[in-house]
Amino acid sequence: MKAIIAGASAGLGRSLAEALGANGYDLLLIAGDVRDLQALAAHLRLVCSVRVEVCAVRIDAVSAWLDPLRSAIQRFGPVDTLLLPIGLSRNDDDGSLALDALRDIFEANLIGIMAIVELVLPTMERAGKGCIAGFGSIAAARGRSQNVAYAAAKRGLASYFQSLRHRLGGTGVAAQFFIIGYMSSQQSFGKKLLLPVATTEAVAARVLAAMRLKGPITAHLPSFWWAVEVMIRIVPWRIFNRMKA
Amino acid sequence: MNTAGDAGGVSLERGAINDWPTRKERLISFDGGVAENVATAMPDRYRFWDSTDRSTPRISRGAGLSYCAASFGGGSLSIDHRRFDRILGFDAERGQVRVEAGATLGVLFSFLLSRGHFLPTQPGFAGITIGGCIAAEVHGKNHARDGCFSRQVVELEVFHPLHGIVRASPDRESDLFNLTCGGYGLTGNILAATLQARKVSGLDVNIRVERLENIADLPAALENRAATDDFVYSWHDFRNPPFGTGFVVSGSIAKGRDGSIASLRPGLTAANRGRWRLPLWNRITTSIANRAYRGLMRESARIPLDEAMFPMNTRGKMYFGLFGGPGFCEYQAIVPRASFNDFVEQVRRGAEANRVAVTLASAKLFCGQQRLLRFSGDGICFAINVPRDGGSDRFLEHLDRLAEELCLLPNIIKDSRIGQKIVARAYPEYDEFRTRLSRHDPKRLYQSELSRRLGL
Repeated sequence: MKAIIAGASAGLGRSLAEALGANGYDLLLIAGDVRDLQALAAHLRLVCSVRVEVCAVRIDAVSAWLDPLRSAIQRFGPVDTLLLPIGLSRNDDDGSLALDALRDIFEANLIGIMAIVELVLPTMERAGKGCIAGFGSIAAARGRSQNVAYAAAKRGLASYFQSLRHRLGGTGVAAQFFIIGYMSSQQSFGKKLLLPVATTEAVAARVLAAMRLKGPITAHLPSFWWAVEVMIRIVPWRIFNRMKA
Repeated sequence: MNTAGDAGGVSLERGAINDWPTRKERLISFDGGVAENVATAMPDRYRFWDSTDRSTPRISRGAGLSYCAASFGGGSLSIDHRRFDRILGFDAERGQVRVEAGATLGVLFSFLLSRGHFLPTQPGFAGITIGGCIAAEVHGKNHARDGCFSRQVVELEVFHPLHGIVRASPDRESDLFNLTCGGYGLTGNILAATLQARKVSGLDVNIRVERLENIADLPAALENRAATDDFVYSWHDFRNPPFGTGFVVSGSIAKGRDGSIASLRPGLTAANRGRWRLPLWNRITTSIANRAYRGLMRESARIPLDEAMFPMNTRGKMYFGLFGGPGFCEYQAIVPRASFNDFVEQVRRGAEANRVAVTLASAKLFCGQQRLLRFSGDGICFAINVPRDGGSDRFLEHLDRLAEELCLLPNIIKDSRIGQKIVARAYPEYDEFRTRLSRHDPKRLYQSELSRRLGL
């Protein structure tokens, strides 16, 4: 079994790498900093006795990341699983970001992911099996004055995975999409949050369980976020406008 | 309880330490003696160490199991290392393992054992991080033979914004190495270490228990066993007459059974130790528990190696939990053999006069040279636990007064209230440590409640 994880250096990506490594997957890990990747790769090779390759590329609007990534994927060979827990958000994303910053957000949260899928998908389709998982955010449930570009990109990602699921019907390749609530990462660290924060390890375990089902899945993790999203969507605008914080 | 400081007082520059998110929280020392509201950061990427911020006061934090406030306080940002917990390399031929400093002893123990190795020197809590072991220069189960933790440290990587990431070993950057091992985290953030492991001959330990009717015979009894056995310590009843009777417990790793064991999960933390608010240790319960413990002690037993290495992982949870919210005080000191009988007599008098329940009295044999602020030297390392109350304060002040007269070396990391005066008198190289630390870190960027209290 072989898997590619983009955004593997920390948070959910790292937990997914550890969970897959523990289950015997050979891994190609992709992230921006080679130091994080090398540390995680060394650990997984020693503790899980699996093959781990790394590719250090920053997926943003200015880096020439596609060619080195294509080469790394070719070297690694055909894979069963592609996990894309990758993203970029900014505290100052209030709708007034400069064009370069907007491009970075859309590259990391949407366009880059679409490009990576296109690098891997043809091989999976030829093999007639595989699993591609994308990760959305509860922030995309309804547009707000915070995380403006991030939420728009994540909404686009949800639409892209819907299209992917439609396109891959009957091919044996599953497109899975997980909408993540609060998780114990740098994004939530130190913030006063109203609802429980899931550990990245717990979310990774749920993703792994969903992967084993081998079918197209759209799910909220943890599952109670489904109800939260419904609530967010049905709140009248008059009330929603007051929920700025 | 000493309550000082507030997270609002921590000045985080814009762009400081790379704009990493921080959290305000109340941290408490494991013994329950010091609590402060502090700011913490929990970085999970190496770019955190690219920061050139040279003004935010800071201190490293591992599992937070230090009995004193070594990883927080003093207006510092506590930098939690637990996301840097990976095993980076293993050289089977040399028996050397390279780990990030946030890796716990329990995880490393399981990994090494699966490759037929173990670290001979490690304290009884599986949750302690490697960085914490180095910074506190902890000891293991047979100091007389194996020394302190630094003896098995081959190389360190230490980050300080003034110096960047520096590799230090006994031969290279030895000054930094010596200052960092037993430097209480004040020389910088320990990022990784290469450790020398030893081949293990089996997964069980044969335990022998020898009754000790007279505590005056303890030094000789410890010496007899320390030369041949892997683990040697004593347990004494300081509550029921005759005072000080107990056992010398020694263990040798039994050849034969091999394989691997599951990862040891750290369970005990400073926060959950006092979850049971009501203190249940007192003179009556201690008397009953000591009688029961004596009754249950068998002459010999065969126990798993992990249980022998990390007794606090199982038995410690209930023992420390019963001190409740107020917590406990530990006094641990190296007692010169010539002063040992006087020390025991003074402990007896102090406990009686102040009506304290000595819930634990235990000793190990120490051999070696004492340097800087490291807890090492020649003598009997004696540890005493008492519940934290008014009597415990007076009892510990009584022991403090003895320090000079009996040439005791108190353990800094085990005592959250010990003051600068006593440490400066007991540790001959206290001034040397301060001078060398100031040379390494002129702005004294790395601070904690401990460093402030000891005038470091």
